[in-house]
Amino acid sequence: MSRYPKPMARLIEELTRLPGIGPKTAQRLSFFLIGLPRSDVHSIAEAIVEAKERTRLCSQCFHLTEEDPCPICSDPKRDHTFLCVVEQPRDVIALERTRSFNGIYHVLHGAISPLEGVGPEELKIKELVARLGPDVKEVLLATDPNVEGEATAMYLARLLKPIGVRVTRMAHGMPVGSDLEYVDEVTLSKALEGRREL
Amino acid sequence: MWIKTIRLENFRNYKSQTVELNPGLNIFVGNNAQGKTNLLEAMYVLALSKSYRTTRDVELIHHNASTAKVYGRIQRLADVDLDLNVSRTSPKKLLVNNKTVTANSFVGNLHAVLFTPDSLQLVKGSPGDRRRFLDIQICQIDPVYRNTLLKYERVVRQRNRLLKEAFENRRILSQLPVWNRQLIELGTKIMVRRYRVLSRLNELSNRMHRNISNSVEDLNVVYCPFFTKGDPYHNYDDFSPSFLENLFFEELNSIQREEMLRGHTMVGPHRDDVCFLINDVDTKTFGSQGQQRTAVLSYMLAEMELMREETGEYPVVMLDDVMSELDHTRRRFLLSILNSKVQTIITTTNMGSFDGTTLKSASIFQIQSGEIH
Repeated sequence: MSRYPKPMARLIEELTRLPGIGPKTAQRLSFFLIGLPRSDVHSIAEAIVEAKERTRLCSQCFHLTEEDPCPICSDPKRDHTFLCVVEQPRDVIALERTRSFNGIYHVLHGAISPLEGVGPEELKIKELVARLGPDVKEVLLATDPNVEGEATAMYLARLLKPIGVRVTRMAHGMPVGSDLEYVDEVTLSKALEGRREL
Repeated sequence: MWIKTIRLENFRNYKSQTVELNPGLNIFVGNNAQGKTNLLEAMYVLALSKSYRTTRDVELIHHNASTAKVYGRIQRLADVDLDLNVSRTSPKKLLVNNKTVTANSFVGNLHAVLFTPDSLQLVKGSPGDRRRFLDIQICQIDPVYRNTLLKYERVVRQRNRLLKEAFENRRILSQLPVWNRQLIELGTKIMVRRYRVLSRLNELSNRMHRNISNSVEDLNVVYCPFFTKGDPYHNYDDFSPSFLENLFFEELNSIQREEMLRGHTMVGPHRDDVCFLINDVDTKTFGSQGQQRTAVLSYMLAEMELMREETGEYPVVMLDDVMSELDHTRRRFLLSILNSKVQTIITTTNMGSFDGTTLKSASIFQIQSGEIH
């Protein structure tokens, strides 16, 4: 690092902390940033600070938002009886891109994982239960299909079913638009298990 | 299938080495510590994406280098190119036909059966050794199994942590059922698959062993799922998933208190074992060294047949320095079975173990300090 001027060395170090950025990429990004006009650099720096300062969690669904409650929660056209539970804000973004879900969300901010010291108390589960009034008819559990996501879904199912709400789980299946022969074996075998009557 | 070409770069004690193999018998001769086992390890790495000798990939890199590469061209219906790159600084890269793939898609392109002096651990070693041998075998023919196994191991680790914490904080126990359900579901899949594979391996090993022993010995390879507590004479007539799931569930319930005291998962296929019976007697305890070795040999040859049945092709068979340990009859039997239909890679310190006719059809290579001629 000593080959770099001090401020630049610091920039490289800071960038290396970002996910997916190793020392090589950090160096490349630093050279790029330093080569930019002053105004561009300011604009990037401001964007980072502003994004951090003006983004918070929605007090209802805990998705990232600028105003509280978030646009999804305050949208009267959305189906407030249908609630979709996800692990992360990025999952909301992914589902919103589909434009096929018209309900509202609840972001847990993680999944149950004893190894990482995450139990139900560390997640927004109490808040989820508190939201379940008589008007919520269905809760769709859309946690990740790995062991932690499954455990979280099962935990929630056991918690919510006695309340009398309909609890559903996201299906595992075939990627649409791809040929059967190109689907990996694990996905294909899951899809087989989850087959349905026509 | 067979390995046409293998190229090593900075792999263990090899600098840069390319070897063209023949589809039949290949013999590598050299003194101790010249690189014979390293060569087999490289081939095996192409089959399994990782070494059987170490879990630390960096150990594969030549001490003067920062990256190691293994490349192999595999002759199947069409040629398949496999590349594995290990670096000291970045994660391992796996390529099939020059495209980066996951370990799940990498494993299964080259099938291999390996027989080394260590293979004796299959009989003599711990239950864990036996499970490892079995899992390696199944993973090569069933990509879904590997995924199930990894998930299962993850559930066991999560559950163990939970049990340890529950010792101090009973309230946490309410989370146990969600892990139990996955433990049972994944564990049952593993047991059903192991049961099926071992049933067939048993038939094949039995036949092989009869041939080797002139029908004097009757070998039985018996699957002992965790609930048999390692008893090979335990009778279970039902091995359906629903039966297993119920049994698993009951075992979990009855042992919960003890599990919490010990802080780890005590029932499940991670406690399975396999037993080798010769004429109904456990070879592990009562077999002679020679019997154990022959049992392992029969089992390895059965593995080879099973792979052909499951995939339609014979795997590559690798024998690391084992010829000298077999007597004349067993050597002849082994070579006659492998002869012509299976690519065989043998390492040895001396050529005395082979007769003239065997040598005529073989490619012979000399290995000396990391160089092959």
